Amino acid sequence: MDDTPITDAELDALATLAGLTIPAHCRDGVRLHLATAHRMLHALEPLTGDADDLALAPVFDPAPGNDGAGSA
Amino acid sequence: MNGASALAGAVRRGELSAGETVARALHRIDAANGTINAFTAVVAERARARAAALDRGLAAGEDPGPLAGVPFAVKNLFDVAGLTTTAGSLINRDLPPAAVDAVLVRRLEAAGAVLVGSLHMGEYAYDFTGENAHDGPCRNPHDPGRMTGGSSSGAGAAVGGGLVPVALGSDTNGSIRVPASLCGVFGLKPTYGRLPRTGTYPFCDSLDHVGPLAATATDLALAYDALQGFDRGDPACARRAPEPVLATLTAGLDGVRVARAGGFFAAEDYPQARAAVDRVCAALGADREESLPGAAAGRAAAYLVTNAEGAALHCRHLRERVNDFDPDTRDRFLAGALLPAGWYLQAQAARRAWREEMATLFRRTDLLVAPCTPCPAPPIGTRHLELAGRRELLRPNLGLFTQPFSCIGLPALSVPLWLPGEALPIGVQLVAAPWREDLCLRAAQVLAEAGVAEARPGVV
Repeated sequence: MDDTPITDAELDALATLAGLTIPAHCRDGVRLHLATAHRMLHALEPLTGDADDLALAPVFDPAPGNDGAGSA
Repeated sequence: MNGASALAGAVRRGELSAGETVARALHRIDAANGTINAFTAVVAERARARAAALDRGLAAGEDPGPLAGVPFAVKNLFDVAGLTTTAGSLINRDLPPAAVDAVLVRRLEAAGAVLVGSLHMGEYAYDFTGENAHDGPCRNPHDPGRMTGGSSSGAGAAVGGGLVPVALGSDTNGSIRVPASLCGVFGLKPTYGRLPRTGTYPFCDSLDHVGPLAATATDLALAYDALQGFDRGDPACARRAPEPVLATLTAGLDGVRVARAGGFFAAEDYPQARAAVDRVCAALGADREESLPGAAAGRAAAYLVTNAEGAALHCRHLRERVNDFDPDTRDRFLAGALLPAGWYLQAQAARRAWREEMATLFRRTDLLVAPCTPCPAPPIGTRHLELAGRRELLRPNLGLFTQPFSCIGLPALSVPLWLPGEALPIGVQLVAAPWREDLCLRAAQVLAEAGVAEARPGVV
């Protein structure tokens, strides 16, 4: 996906896969938010080289001293 | 403003009854809620009964608890027995009323506090503005023509307006800190997993936090101490013993290494946010800057994870009742439901790398000072914000400075500042390593004692 706005046909194809219908009055809004999400994807790049260790939620180890906490 | 600490002290000493504190709170709500729209439900009968029971216990010599007679309210995604947990939505109004209170409601009441109602919020917590198509906008207690921020809009307005001294909110991307900033109160988002979310309506499980907002740093610490502790009803809740902060609240910051958040947090010139951060850094002796190169990616990761997880949660409603959503959340959820899985996984990878970067930072720095919102409360109805030279939607972007920290579960506290000549408050974030809420609260207390941070009574 590049920065070209997604077409109605593309939107409908994606929505069908997800089991959704995108009402006509929502299409511009959905396009706008998909474009924003796409820009966010580019913003990830400094931290996503060839990472193969995809992270789950950051539930911190409750053991003190295991979390990078300072000494103050 | 009647602080929780002062009220509880007066009740405990017998100078004031719990019945009187509750009657005063109900009177304030009755007088102001028509203007600021902070409460979506008031449980007056329940509150009076609870206060009467407290007063009977006091008369019998029982210890009423550290929050004796303190009125509080909760964002309407917390279960309150007998009320439907609407989470700011129209769709949830079809659900039956909650059978029992959320765990944190029970904990505050066990400490002597008295629930007086539930509070306005952005639909399904996907909001930074305090606007809601179903309930109308929540209004800023310092200027009712302005936003409260969201999504814990009612919590910010109710505390900022002096209706209650303490409220509970939730924070997935900044939803405690943004309204705390715009309404001029103290707001704490604890470490991910610190406080149990049992009995709350979820938004994005891997990012959802709950926490208190209060009129003073002391009140925030008092409430936070009463809220702590493991609960098995929340799978993400850490098995950690409570670590009370009130006893060390006035310990100061000797030996604490404080730095200013630079890079992403200083890349654009938001004059009021910068001036507020300057004042806090000067007061805390923060004379160096951390560049935080991964912060923008951390923020982007939070954005994408929220969009994908939130949409997945609401997928059935998007199929069956799409027109019953608030239009401003509907289109975002629909877009989130269409995101490729690879985007979500890349966001999770960035999240992990950002977390590791911050863990390294916390070996040399104990506390970070960062802007909370780019500006004070915008006028209600504002749709756009200038961001890096682009005209962006305000609703998803007002929390751009809060998102990087909740993305990796760090404790973050917003303190309220009033800049010279400004009619509206603005918040500054204090951010520490995981489980070091105590440092955030001690710094907030230092700022309060120095007169740098304060919650002023609303004009409403």
